Amino acid sequence: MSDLNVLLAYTALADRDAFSQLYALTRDRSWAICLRLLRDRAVAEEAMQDAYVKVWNQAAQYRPDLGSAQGWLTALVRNTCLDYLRAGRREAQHVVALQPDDAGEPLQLADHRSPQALLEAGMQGRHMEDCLEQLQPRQRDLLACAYILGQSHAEVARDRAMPLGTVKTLIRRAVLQLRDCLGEGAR
Amino acid sequence: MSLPARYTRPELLDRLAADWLTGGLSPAAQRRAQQLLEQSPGFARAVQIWRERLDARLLSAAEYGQPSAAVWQGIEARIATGSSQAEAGKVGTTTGWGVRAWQRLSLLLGGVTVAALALSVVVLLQAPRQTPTVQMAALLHGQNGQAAVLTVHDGTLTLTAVGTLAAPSGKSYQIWLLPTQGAPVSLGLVVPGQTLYPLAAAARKRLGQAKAFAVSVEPPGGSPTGLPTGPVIMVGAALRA
Repeated sequence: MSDLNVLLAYTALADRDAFSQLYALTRDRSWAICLRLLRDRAVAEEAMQDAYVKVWNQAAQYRPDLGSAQGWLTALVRNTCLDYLRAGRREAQHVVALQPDDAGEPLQLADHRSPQALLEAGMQGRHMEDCLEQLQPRQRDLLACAYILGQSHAEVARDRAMPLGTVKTLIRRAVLQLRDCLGEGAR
Repeated sequence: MSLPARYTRPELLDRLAADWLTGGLSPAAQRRAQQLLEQSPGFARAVQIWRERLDARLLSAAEYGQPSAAVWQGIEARIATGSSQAEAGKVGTTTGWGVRAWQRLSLLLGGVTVAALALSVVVLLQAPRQTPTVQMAALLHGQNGQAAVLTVHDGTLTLTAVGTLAAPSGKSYQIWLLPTQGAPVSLGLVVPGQTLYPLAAAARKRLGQAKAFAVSVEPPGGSPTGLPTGPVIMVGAALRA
């Protein structure tokens, strides 16, 4: 059982300490979702508050057998933001201008250190930045949509009005590039 | 439970973890991945590594900044007022953890009068020669008037209910230890007419972390998930000798 599952269970028990820990653990991702969808800091902060008050009140509704706690929380935060958008408080501005399709260009690896060295660097985060910099802006945008917003490839394709096959190809290629750049897997 | 051999291959687990986190799995495959997360330490590690990698850049403060401290202060203020309970009433029927009742009843932990608890514990802890030394005690009670005294001594739990404690037809009552950290721990099913419940070794090890005890309504034979799923009928804070 993940830490988040446990914290969510105790939040359902009205344990404020657990809720505080849950907020600290999930704040960055939730904030990225709010800001990515709403773009305006003040509105995003308002939505963050609404979302976490909902988490406090609805933690008991989480069903561990239906999905991960992170998935549940991501959906709740995203839906709260979408409610804001639907309410007309803020127009959706999250669709970025598409870049020319240069996905066919060969990837240039940043360096040729050993997989172990690459992994160590990757764990420190810095090398990850180098690797992400190598992705095309459109690939990064699609990757961020899928990862931050917890969207499936089909949902990303719908939101971006792109063919599903193209989205799948671009995201999977981005993941492969990251894996190759960072060193194979967790080894 | 043993996993298929292919799930021991690091490269497969790595690919699966990356696909899962970046939206590449179907809903059915996502559910399987969620189950695999609980069963395979190798997969859990792969997911964690990919999360750290992606978080490091895609969720960095450099990318999005951070919400102001006022956000958390606002959340605290809103849940501290009665509004949270009012909103909780809108939630609807109990689902999931089945802990809408947990939430309500947990408030009772703070609502039990200190005097009543103190008296109970003093009586229990000082009862000379009638029982072995009591290590821990709790006065459990619920919204519908259920009440019971729970004590622990020599690895045995004693649960003495006020009146009868028989589960509805087709249901079982299950006893839980709520640790200060981690998920609730099952201490076994309530057997009508029985007051002594020997504790398993695993449960004994968790006694030191107990902050409360509870009894919940579960399917026959106990919770299928290992966690409380039904409404809680009684709960009480743990007090130590």
